[in-house]
Amino acid sequence: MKNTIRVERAIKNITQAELAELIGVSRQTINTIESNRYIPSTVLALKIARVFEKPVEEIFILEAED
Amino acid sequence: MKPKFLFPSKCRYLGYLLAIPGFILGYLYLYKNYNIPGFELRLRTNDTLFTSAVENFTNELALTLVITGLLLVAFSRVKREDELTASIRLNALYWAILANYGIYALGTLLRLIFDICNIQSTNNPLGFFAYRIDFTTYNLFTPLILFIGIFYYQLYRSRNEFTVKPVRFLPNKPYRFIGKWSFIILVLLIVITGLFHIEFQEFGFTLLPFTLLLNVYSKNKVEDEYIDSVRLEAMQVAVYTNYGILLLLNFFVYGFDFLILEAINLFTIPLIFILWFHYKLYRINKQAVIKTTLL
Repeated sequence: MKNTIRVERAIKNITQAELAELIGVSRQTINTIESNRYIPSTVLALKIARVFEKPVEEIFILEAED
Repeated sequence: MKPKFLFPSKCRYLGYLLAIPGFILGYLYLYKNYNIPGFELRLRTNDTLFTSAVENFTNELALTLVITGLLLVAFSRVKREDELTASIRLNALYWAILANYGIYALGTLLRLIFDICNIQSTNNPLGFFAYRIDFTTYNLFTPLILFIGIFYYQLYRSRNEFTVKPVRFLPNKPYRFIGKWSFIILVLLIVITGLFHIEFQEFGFTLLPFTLLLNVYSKNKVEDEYIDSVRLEAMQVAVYTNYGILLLLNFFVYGFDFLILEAINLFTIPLIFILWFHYKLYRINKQAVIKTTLL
């Protein structure tokens, strides 16, 4: 699974730390998700989507091998 | 995965405060034969072969400090606890138990090789590792030490991100089968040889943890995300239960009996894990059945 968090952050102009603060996780967690090393739970994915005001599927995208 | 059963994050410092004096006391007791003067009770009227009438509590105190301290360090929340730190914690626990038994296996194997080949162990550094390091005593706290090491390494190796090291399992076939039957056969052998007073118990008990580990570290027939999370939680439950019981028994079991307890402790973590994990799976299955029939 890949994600577009980095792009969305750039559009909204917020840092990893600010996003982390908004959804109540640590900055390292956001970074680990952005670099595709951790797949967040549904709850966390929905929270991230809510911050960017977009449906989850636009931020998290399944890949062929999933 | 929400973090469960954790202490507040400040408890970590309390943990260090307890564990460090505990280690110093333990070292003095084990290697310098130090006993706190007067810190003793007359528990029995007479000395017997295996127990003395007067029991000094230095070693009990040391072990209690070490285990309580390490548990607090190991299972306190990190400053910003979230689902990823929780998942890293449980993964680290899984690796720690594996590493712990890896070291134990290495020591056991070396001892076996030294025994079979009759190698002089006194001047050999490997001999020191095989004979002088008392795994049964160290095993009382090495799982916690290894866990703390692995967990904090994964959290703080990089300032910017966490190190995620996924857990891996052996395939269900044939390892679960081998694990199950080797355990059953081994237990039967230990019981039978015990009844006939044949010298086998010690060797049998040495092998017992490995048969259990095959069960712990092999996949179920059906494996998914949810079972994965149940499995990881079960390991935490196993570690808590194991150390809870150990702390309690520490004050009621003395002398030679405690050596037996140490030997049993070598395989209780995987044993409690298996019992709890399969109990949870059974519950999940049952609930699923009830819900499908209701629908």
